[in-house]
Amino acid sequence: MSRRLLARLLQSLIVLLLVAFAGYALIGLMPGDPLDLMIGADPRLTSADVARLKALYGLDRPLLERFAHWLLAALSGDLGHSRLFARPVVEVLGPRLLNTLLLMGTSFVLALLLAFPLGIAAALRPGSPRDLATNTLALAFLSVPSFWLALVLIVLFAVVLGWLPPGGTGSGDLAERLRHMVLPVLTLTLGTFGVFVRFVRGAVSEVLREPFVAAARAKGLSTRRLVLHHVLPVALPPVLSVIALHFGALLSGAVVVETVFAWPGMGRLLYDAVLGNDFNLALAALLLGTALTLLANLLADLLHVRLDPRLGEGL
Amino acid sequence: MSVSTPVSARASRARGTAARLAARPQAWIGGGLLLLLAAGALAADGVSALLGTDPQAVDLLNRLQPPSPTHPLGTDELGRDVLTLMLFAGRVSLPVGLGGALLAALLGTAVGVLAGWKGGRIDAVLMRTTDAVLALPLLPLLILLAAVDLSKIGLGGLGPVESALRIVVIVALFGWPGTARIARAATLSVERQPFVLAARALGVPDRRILLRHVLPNIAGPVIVATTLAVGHVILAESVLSFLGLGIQPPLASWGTMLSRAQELMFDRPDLALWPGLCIFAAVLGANLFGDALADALDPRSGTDLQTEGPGMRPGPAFPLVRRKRRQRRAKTSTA
Repeated sequence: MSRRLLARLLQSLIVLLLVAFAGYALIGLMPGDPLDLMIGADPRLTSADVARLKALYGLDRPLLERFAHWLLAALSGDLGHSRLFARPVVEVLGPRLLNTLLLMGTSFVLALLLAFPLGIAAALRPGSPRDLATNTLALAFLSVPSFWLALVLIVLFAVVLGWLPPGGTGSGDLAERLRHMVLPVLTLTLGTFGVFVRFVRGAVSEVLREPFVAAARAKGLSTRRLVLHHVLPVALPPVLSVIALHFGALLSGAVVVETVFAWPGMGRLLYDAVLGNDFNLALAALLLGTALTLLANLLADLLHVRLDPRLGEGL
Repeated sequence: MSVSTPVSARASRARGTAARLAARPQAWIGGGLLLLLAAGALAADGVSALLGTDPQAVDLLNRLQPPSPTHPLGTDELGRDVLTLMLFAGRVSLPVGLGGALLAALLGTAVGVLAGWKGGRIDAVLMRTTDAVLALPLLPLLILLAAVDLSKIGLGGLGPVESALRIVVIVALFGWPGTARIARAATLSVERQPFVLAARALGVPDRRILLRHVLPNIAGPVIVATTLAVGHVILAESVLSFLGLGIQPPLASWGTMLSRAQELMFDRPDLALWPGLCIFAAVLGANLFGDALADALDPRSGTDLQTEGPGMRPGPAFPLVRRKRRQRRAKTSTA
């Protein structure tokens, strides 16, 4: 158990390191690095000047050496300064991360609360109208581009009906903040729900085909007891692991939703940082997102082992 | 499936799949949506000529016109006809979706078959990589990749078509793990089949076994995964284009149209409606058709793919089978 955990932890760290290196290398290839800007600002710069500047900033060193340098600094907590915000990257990221987690967490919980009852209800009566309705709804939410859904919701609730604000987080009292959360959370929840409900329905209907379910039914167990005590414990572990794999997609969804609704979260920060040539910030945001995703997967893996007695020792 | 020879068994299996597919309304709705969009894209020239509208012509006197007989969906902020623009955008979005899905399927199948076939350490490394890529936050990485300036690695001066190709490659780079897992699982169950063991025992080279016996038998799940991937790729492309990092002008996709429409959302919300509906219809079509295909290929279960069982058949040139077939043919001709 602990060996398995250690191995998974090591794997996650390797992936994180690889993403850091890939991100570092890619960011070096983005247009508008500091030297590009200096060259653009001063037409009198000669190529000799550029070479001298490169040497001054260490940009003439090999990529691996520069990466190692950055990594050492990052490990000691120094992720550099943000060019857009003129503050240390860590200070910029902190509050944004909380906003994103608030958005993602709320949507995640709501999507689960919707997906479990509807998915189970659909699985219990395959081919029934409610199964068909759930499937159709799931497929529609799965297929709708989230940014377009966001635009439609804004037009409907903010422009036509005027009930809710079109974007931002709002300031002041809690009610105002909650009003600003409704549309972003709704957008993210609907798309996530479409994915989750299919997972739940698939896993539950698979378990329902097992002989022990027929035996339990023959003994006269109520559907409620059957589902809660016999089906769900078996169906839960696989559902949890696919749902954890979906965390990355949820983060991707948050990037889109935050961008459309001007929600000051990490996703929007990453997008702004990439467009605004804020390399330190973009890299840090990317790594934070990746680390969170890997962490979510690790936790789900642990939970999976706890819930499924067949796994455990020896894996 | 009580048929006499493996060849007709294969044919009848394909017919059975087609019949089950045809019996599913999802297949017709999904296929219909995709065909409708494709037909629209193909007819873009005709529609443009019929209406007398040029999608490239800027007409600032007629900007943001409401729908009218000449402009059935109105005009955009540069006075261009929205309907024609949208049909032409289909010529970018649909091929990008198809191309990205095919490239991802190619990569995924190669990785999955290699992992499943070779096993051992190669399998472990490839599958750990697959799991890692599958778990990564996709969009942040896509944004980073799409923002890279290719001229810095000596690939400057990309035309508009190359910029679309680039999006195809970027999206495929992260789209392969799903297919890889499916292809690996399918390979693992095929390679345990007696006919594969027999072929191995007969000394048939690996390459031949893979091409003749393994690939045809894993084709079903891989095709399903590819069909579903078309939808994912179209979505990914539209998001990137919407964020201004995807398809670059003068090319326009449904995503780029939405990106411009967003700024006019309060004055002309309908401009954002139509391209979004196109994306929705394309993705929904691919998902519906893919689901129906998965059900048709495996009538026993819903969306989960099972490849084990009696459905598998040796390839057309399986040595033992060929000998038997020859014998049988000789028998029937004398009779």
